[in-house]
Amino acid sequence: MTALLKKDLYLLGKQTWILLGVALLFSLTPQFESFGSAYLMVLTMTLPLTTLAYDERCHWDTYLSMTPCRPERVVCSKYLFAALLAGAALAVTVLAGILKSTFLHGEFDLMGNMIQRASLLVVILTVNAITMPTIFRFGVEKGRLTMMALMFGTFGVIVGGAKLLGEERMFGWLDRVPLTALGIAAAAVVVVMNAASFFLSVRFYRKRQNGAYD
Amino acid sequence: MESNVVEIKGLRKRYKGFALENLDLALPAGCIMGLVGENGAGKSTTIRLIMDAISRDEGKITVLGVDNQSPDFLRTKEDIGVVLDETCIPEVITAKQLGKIMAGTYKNWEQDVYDSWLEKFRLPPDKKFKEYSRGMTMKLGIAAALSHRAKLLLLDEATSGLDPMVRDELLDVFADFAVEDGHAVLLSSHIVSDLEKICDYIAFLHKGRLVLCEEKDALLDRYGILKCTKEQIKNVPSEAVHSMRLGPYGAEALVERAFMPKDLLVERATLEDIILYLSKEEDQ
Repeated sequence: MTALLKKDLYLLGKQTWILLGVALLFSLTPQFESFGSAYLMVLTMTLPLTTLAYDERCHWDTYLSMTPCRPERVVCSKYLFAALLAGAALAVTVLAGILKSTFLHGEFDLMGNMIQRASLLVVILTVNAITMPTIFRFGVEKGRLTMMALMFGTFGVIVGGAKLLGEERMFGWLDRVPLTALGIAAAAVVVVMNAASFFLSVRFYRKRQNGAYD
Repeated sequence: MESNVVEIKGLRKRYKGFALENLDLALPAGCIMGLVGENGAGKSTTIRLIMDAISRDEGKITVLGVDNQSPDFLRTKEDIGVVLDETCIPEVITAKQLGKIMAGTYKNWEQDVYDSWLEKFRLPPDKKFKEYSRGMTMKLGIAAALSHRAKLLLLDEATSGLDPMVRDELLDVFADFAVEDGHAVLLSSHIVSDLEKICDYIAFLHKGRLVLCEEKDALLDRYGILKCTKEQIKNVPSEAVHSMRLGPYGAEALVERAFMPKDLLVERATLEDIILYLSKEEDQ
């Protein structure tokens, strides 16, 4: 598994660190804070797609099918890579928060910051859970389109809903639900969705290897 | 008695528009088998089926004594080096990085052996794969395949698109590999002259069917080329003639020496002649 993760890191090369650095800069600049978060979220979701696009172009999976690598391991490495990137994104934004609080604003609400970032993580992992099986079934380009549709669709529902119903009716319920319960529910949804998504992806991956979608 | 490294019995695989039918093949230890056939004949499919990379419809495949659909086959894959027609390595990876990836993929990986192959093939370890020539990419694939103590080499068009000097260099590498105890090579290629140079056995696939699988020397002894007049060819026993070409100045045919009358001169057939004539016969 580490070999496959290492390969994905090699594929992204220096650009990963540069992009994470840029995201850190955005997060540190008060005017660009929200943009920084959005940028980081998009970046975290698209980088695994970049590695999958490289794999698809050179038929890396055909090569792997000749090695002692199980399909489960190959698919799992992609989920793990996406989760590790999301974790790195979370670390970057928390680091930005700590730096800002230390050098710019004074007090730092670690708990509030963590909750915000954790919700970001939930969004990223949920989008990944939906996108991954699409990629393994239809290929990277269609997976990318699904991801974009999902991102814009979610954004449209949130913004449109808030405009139509009003912010209180749209989001007010969030304040009334205990934070712990909300956290547990979100974590459960992410785990269940990713587990189901993983098994579906393995199934699609095996069928694709077998030429079922050619 | 020599044991078989690969044994295929009654293998069938059907795709839309293509079928590999009833394939029986045995590759003995210490031998190099050339798998020859036109594009789409089923050579790559056979190699993928041997590695259980695609599932078969019928038949049985044993590799190094292990059924390739048994759970043990994953361990057996450690002992098989594969080079595909496309090297399938991402273009931004360097040879050095590939070594690190393979070290985590194969338990038997030998980094010093890999490094020595890179040196022998004069492959720059820090250059990205996209900057490699076709010859270099194939050499890199071969270096990786030879660095995990493989006993069996499966080479799918590993010499195609290479210049004669590089091809010759690689053929020597394959021949040296096969000499070692218990080793074997299955080499698919369009370049029949390459197969004639190094193979002990020739398997000829045509439109998904195995036309022949024989020792190369026996094949070259069995067949010959007859060049004669149209009148002379009429007197040749029909069981001797496999396929013929009639031209304005005479006839040329692939014949079996055993059935030939002694008074007609039969020239030595090259492997390419045999393959071409037999494929024509199959088409008729």
